[in-house]
Amino acid sequence: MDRRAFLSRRRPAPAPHHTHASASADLSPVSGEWTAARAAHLVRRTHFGASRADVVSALVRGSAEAAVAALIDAAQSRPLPDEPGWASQTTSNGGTNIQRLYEWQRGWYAEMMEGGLREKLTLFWHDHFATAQVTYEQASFAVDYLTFLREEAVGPFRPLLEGIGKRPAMLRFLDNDANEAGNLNENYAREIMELFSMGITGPDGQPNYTQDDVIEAARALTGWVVDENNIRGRFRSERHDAGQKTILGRTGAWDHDDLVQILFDERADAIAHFLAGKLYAWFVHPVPNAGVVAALASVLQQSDFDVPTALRALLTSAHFYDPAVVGARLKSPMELAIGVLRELGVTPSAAALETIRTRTQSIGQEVLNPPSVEGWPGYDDPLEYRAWVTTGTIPERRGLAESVIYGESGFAGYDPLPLVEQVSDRFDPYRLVRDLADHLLAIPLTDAAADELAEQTVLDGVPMSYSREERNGFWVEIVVSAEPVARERLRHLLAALVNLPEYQLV
Amino acid sequence: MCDHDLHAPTRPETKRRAISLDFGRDHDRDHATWSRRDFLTGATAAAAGAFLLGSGAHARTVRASSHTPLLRSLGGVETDRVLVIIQLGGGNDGLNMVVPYTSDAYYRRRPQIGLAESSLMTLDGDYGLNGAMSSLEGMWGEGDLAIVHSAGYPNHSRSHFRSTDIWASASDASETRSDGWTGRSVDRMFPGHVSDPLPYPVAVRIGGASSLLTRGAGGALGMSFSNPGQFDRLAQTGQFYDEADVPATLAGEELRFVREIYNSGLRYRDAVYNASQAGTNDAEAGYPGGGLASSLASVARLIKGGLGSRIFAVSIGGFDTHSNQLDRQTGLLRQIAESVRAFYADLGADADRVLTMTFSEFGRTISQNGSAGTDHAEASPLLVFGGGVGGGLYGDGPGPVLDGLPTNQNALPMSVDFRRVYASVLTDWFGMPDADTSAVLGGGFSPLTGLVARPITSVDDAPEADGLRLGAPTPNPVVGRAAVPFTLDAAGPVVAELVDLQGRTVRVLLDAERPAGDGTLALDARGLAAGLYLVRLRTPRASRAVPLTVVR
Repeated sequence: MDRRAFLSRRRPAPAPHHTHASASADLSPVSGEWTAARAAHLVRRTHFGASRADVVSALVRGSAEAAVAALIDAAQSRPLPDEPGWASQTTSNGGTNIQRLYEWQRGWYAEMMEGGLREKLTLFWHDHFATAQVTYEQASFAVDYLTFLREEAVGPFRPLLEGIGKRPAMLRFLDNDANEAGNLNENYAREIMELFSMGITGPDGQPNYTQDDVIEAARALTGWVVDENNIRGRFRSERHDAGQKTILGRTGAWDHDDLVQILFDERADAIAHFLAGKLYAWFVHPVPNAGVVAALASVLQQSDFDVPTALRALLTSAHFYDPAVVGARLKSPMELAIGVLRELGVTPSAAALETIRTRTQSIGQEVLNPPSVEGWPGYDDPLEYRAWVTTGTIPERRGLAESVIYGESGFAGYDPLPLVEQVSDRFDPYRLVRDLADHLLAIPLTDAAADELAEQTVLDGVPMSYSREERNGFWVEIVVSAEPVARERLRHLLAALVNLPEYQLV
Repeated sequence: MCDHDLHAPTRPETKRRAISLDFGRDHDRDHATWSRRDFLTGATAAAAGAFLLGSGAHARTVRASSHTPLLRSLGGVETDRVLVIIQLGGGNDGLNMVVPYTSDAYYRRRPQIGLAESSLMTLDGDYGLNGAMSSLEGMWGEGDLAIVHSAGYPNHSRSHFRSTDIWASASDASETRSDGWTGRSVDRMFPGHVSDPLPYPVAVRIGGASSLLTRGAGGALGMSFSNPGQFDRLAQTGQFYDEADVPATLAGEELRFVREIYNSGLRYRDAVYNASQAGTNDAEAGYPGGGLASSLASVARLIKGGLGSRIFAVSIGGFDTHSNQLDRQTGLLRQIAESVRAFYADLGADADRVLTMTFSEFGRTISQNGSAGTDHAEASPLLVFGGGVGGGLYGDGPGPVLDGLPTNQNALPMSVDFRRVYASVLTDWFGMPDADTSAVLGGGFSPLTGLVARPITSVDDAPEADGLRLGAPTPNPVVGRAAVPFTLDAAGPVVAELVDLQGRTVRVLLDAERPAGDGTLALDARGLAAGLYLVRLRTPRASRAVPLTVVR
């Protein structure tokens, strides 16, 4: 792919075009009972789908504060997954390389199943510090890149911004390995300001930097190249421009790390605002709420850009649990694919992970290969965030969820009874539909809609003249005397639930 | 579970709901395929599921969409016959629907609920129809109503759900199948329809008929409306999912957006919506109130609007009359009779191409129980309606059987296996080859002679209203020579052609003046590439086509 061509698809960073009404437009803490619905919302937004176990675990913490603290602790203490045996090698064999990439992608899906907030944030940073393997090519660079993001995912922002520019994936993706004294390449210099730290304009609408700043920053960034033998970035002083540069009004013989320091020194407001907007988009809604974003920005600034501190404030706020925003995000393909597995309690085989890879790619998200340096517009572009959901992707999104339930396309046969036992009572047809709907959907079904669903699936064929007790008896008869039929009907029920428009929302 | 005498009143008409169910597999197979095709526009045609015709240098790929005109002509021209299934949920008491009024045992065993001869609509010297159904007198007189006595199956199940599944799947009592008889039939009638969907839903369910009925190898077929209100919304607004009824919040806005996308992506929405706009109900048809009438009125609208769907399934519940049967069953039977009569009046010119049959999972006990009701039992009669049926009574009536049974035997044994009725529908009504009918029904079930008065395969049959009939090719599939019978009711010019999947004429079989009467098209398939073709016959007034499969 021509790098210039796809970089030029980028538009100027969009200004927030409107804010939405909400009961709360700041970060005042949530009050009231810590309910299962709130716990489920927290898990859905911080994980890939809400497994029953994770919801129960969040619920028993007793408060939003305790539940969020536990999520962050778990994310920080989680060991890194094993790296593949080839992680320290490059290859010139294209076929080998692509198989390595696929293996590493499947490995990430498996880690998303269990990795909770750590993996959600890792994907957040991948979307933020986007690089694409189709450009940097080597699968081992993808391992290095992702491992770096994982290590830094649940911590302060500064080490991320300092370190990402020295990873081979980024050096290749944005050409900084070609940037040398007397032969400048401005690509990374521009993006570290525009996309990775502070944006084109600050919260006051004024430009954050000039073209001269970009050129001077590019000079500071010279000297870094890819060390293919050791899969790391290496500084070669003979390629570095050691002269004086003036960046954002500060003059000195600046290098890479000096540039990062200058950004934090001179543009702390803008960085805080920019990062707060991204966190808001990912965890609440792609259209920013100005009041909440401003409050979150000040939390970032006061905590020296500590992301867990900001998340703690956001995820325990009344705004986060406002019913107006619960279920207001469209699921990304990864949230949909990993989510349906986690929500149904399915542990995917290698074949299933391969299906996830091809299907999520088909519906617009191939991890490690985002469409541009801006990442995926579905996550945080206020104008294009609905791009995930089209008449083309919806059938495939629905088909993917169904394949899991009906045990097709690499998914093993699925027994719905254990899930029903976990979330409800297998003998009560109306209750189990309601409980499964609550488990699977971010937007609650009306009682009437849930009843209708019961009558079309588990109670299919029951005379509607029956009393409620008689219909229950009908279902009990099936469960007791014909368990395979009960399982099939429950699969139809689950398929009906994941086929609802509501299931596309999180 | 049914030893009770309290019953909820018949469920009120369901109101429109915030959600609606297009129920996963009812059409999503098609969805997925269709969208994959869109995704793979630039990929190889074979990968995209296109047809490959011919071989070697002469092979040509045909995009799947390019042969829809052929399938449309199969749907619209060749046999536009329709089957409507009315499911009577709960187990209909057949003895009080088709009453053996000369049987002593009937009156002896039903002292309170036995129906007096004087209240009945007389059918013959021994049987009368429940008086609540007397609005069917006209159809009976015209020979448009057939009654099959004591339909059932060996080792009859008395469980609602098991027996419903057996009727829907046409399985043996001991067998559990996850597909339905009409679903399997469609799989045979339209091979390849899963990977290459028709432009219209081949089956439409309205209002809670068993989904198993229309379940085929690729999942349930066609489109499903959970209630007539949902159909009405589609007819009025083009929306299957309600875009208006969402919360006034950010989450509500996103939900509305997703519903919009769902609505615009529904494969059959346009076909169904267009048909619902093109067809109108006759205001004079005289539909009664109730869900069944609403469902049938919707079906009539779609048929008159030209929707190609072959199978419609509707339902009416409330037949599980363990207590106070007289009042309750009477109202239900009246609804059926008046709804069906109005349905045929409404269909008008389309009436002759619509066959309607009822079924219920089981009949009820011969003797009344202690609550002036009846309990679950076995065989019961079913009704078949339409201009295409041979009116009258089929099978051995229950009268003599009843009089010969010991009083401790409380279930009417079957006289006709229900799968023979299905065989009549498949072989005679839809013209399915015997081998296919056997494959669908498991073999061994012959059609009931005369039940379908105008079998599609009969070359002796009179020409249809426009003066032209085209029979099924024999043999089909064909390797060498095949013959296709036709009948003209008037002399005149006739053109017969063999047409390929792209609608191109590959052979002219006949182009001449022909006298009135029977004729035969002779065809030599040698030299033709393997694949599906149409034999098309045209006169100045009419056109017919039948499919022909050439194998090598």
